[in-house]
Amino acid sequence: MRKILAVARYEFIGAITRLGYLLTLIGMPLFVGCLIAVTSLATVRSATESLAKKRSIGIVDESGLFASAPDSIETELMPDLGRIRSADIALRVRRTELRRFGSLKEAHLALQRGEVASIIRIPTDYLTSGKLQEYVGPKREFELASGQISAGSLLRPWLVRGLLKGRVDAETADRAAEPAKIERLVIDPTGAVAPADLIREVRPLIVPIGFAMLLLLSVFTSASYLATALAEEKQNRALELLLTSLTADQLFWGKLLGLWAAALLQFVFYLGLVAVPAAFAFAALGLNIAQAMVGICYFVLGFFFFGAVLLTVGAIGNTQKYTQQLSAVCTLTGVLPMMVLTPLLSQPRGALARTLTYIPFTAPITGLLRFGADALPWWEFVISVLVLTISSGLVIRFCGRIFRVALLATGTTPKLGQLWQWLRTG
Amino acid sequence: MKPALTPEPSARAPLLELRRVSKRFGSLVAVEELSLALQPGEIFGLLGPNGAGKTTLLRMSVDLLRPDSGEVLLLGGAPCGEALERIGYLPEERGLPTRARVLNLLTYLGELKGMTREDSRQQARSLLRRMELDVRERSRVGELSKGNQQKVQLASALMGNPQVLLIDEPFNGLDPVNRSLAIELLKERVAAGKAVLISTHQLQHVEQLCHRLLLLNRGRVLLEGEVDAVRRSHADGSILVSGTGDFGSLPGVERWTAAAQGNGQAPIRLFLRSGVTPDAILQQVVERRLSLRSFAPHVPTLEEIFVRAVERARA
Repeated sequence: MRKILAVARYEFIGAITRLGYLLTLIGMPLFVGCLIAVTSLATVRSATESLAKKRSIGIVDESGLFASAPDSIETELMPDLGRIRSADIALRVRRTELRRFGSLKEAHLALQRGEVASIIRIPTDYLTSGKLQEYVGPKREFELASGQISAGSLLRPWLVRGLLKGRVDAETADRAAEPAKIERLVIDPTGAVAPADLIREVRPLIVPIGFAMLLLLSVFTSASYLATALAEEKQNRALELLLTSLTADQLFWGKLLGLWAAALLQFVFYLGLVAVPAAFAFAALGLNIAQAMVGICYFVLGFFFFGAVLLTVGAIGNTQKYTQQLSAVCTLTGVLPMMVLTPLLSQPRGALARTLTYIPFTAPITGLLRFGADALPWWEFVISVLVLTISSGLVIRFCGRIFRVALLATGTTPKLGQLWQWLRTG
Repeated sequence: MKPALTPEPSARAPLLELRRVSKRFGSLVAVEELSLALQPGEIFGLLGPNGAGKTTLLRMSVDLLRPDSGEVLLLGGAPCGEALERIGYLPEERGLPTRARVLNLLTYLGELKGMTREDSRQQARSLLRRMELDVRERSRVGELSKGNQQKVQLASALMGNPQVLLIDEPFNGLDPVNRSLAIELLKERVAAGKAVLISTHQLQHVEQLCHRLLLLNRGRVLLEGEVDAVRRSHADGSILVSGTGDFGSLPGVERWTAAAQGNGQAPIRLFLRSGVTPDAILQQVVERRLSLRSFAPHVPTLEEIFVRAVERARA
C-alpha cells in the first residue's frame, strides 16, 4: 500500500503541475466564460443593429385590392421563446415599412438603389390566381433572426387583412390573419395544470449533463494524458526500471489513484467555482440532492473505468501516436450517449437507453441522463453501477497481466492474437 | 586498478544465482542452460555480441522475465518482493521521464525501494552531490545533457543502497572524468561487500574492473572464469619484444607483426616456430647481440579473445 501511495502521489503531482492540466483547469472556465460573454454580446449587438436598420419592402399593387391596407407590418420575433423573461420585449417586435410604387419600373429603380429590400408585385388577377411576384436584388440579406427569408410569408397576414377589410369585422379579420396562438399546458401526475415551461422541462437535465460534461472533460484531458505518458515511459524503458521495485498491479493502482485524485481536484475546482451560483440555482430550480449523489457516483466509477481502460491502452501502445489513436476510440465510445441524446431523452425507458445503461463505456452518461429524465429505476441503477465496478476490476486485472509482457514488446503493434497470448502468459 | 575481492567470494553465499536457466521466444533460443553465481564483493562482466542473450539474462534476474526452465535465486530466495528492493537495475535502452525533476525522481525511486521519503531525499541529495549534479537537482531530466542524464540514471540504480547492481553499459555517454567517477562509485560498493554485474561491449572496462567474466553467444556460454586466468589461458605463445635489431630474422621466429625491424619504439610480436620456447628466442637475441629493452610473453586482450571465440562459435 505504501508503494501504491508513493506512485499515486508522484503521478498526482506530475499531473497537476503539467501545463496542459493547469490550462484546462483554469483556462477552460475562463475560455468558456469569455466565449459565452463574447458570443452573447455579439448576438445582442447584431440583433440590435439588425432591428435598428430600417427595412422596407416595395409594393406594386396592380390589383388595387390593398389600397387602404396599412403601410407597415409588425412582426413578433421568435414567438416560441416569448416566455423567457430575459428576452427584452423591445427586441421581439420588428417593424417593416411597405413603400408603394405606381409602376414596376419605378420599383425596380428603388431596388437597384437599395431603397427597398425586395418588391412584391400584386397582379390584377391576384384574386383569382393567388399569385404574387417577388423581386429581389442579386445579394440578399437573410433575415434569419426573424425566421423570415421571404417577403411573401411576411406579408401573409397583411394580405389577409387587406382582402377582408370591409367585408368582415376587424376581429374576424384579425383571427383569419392569425388563426392560432396556441398556449401549451401541462398536466402533472397529481392532476395540476400549469403552463408549459421550457426551463422546467430541461431543469432536471442540467445537473446530469453538467456531470457528464465534467466526466468527459476529465477523461479527455487527464486520462488521455496518462495513457500517452505511460506509452512514453514504456517506450523509453523507464517502466522497466520501476517494475523492478514494485509489481505491475501496484504500479497501475498507484497511477490510477494519482490520476483519479487529479481528476477529483479538477471536479472540486469546477464545483467550487460555480458553488455559490449553483447553490442559488439549485434552490431556484428546485433540484434535489439525489441527482448530485448519483452524479458523483457515476463520475467516480466512470472515471475509474475509463482510467483503467486508458491505462491498458497505454500499456498496449508502443508509440504515443498509436496510443493516442486507441485512446480516441475508447473515449469516443464514452461520448456515444451524447451523440444519441435526442432518441435517449425522447425514449429514456426504450431499448437503446436500457442497453447503453448496461455497457460500461456508455453506462455513466446514459445513467446520468436517464436519472435526470426520471427514467432510471433503482434496480437498473444498481446493475449499471455493478457492471461499471466489475468492469473496472477486470480491466485492471487484464492490464496487470499483459503489462509485464507488453512492456518488453516495443517496436511492433500488437495484434489481437498477441494480446490474447500476453493475457495467458502474463 | 581492479578492486580487491572483499572478502574471499567463495566463502560467502552468492547474492544472485542462476541455475541451468533457459528462455526461448518462439523458436529463438535466448538463453540455454545457463548457470551463474554472483558473489559478494565481486564485479562480474557479462559479455557477448548483440543478441547473445545478455539482456534476457538480466531481465530474468530481476523477474521481468520468467525462465522457461531453471531457477533464479536472488539473495537466496525467489526474485520478488523485498529481495527486488535490494537490487539496483540499469537497463540498456534506458530512459527516465523527461518532465520529472531530478531530485523528485530519485526520491520517488528510493521510496519504491522501501525507503522513507526523508531518507530517500537525503540519499538522493548525497548521490547528486557526489556526482556533481547537486546544482541541477531542481532541473527536469530532459533539460540535462546526455552525460548528465546518464549520471542520473546511474544514481537511480544506486538509490536504496542495493546489495546487487545489475547494470547494462553503465559508462555509455560519460566523458573520461565522469567515467572515472562512476568506476569509483562502483568500486566503493564492491568494497562494502555488494556485488556488481556489468553487461558491456567496452571490454577494456571488463579488464580494468571485473574479477570474473562470462562470454555468451546465442544464449550459450562460450567462456567463463576469472579475467586474468581467461586471458592467460588464451595466450598463443607469441612474444612481445622491443629493442633495436632484426628480431624477425631470428631462427626460432616463424613470423612477426607490427614493425619488421625493431626501432626501439613500438614492441613487435614474434610468433615462434613449433617447439621453440621463449627461452630459446632469448638465447638467440643474446647470441646476435641485439639490443633488447623489453621481452614478455604476449597475453591477448579480452577483445582478441572475444572476437576469436565468437568467430569460432559462428564457424
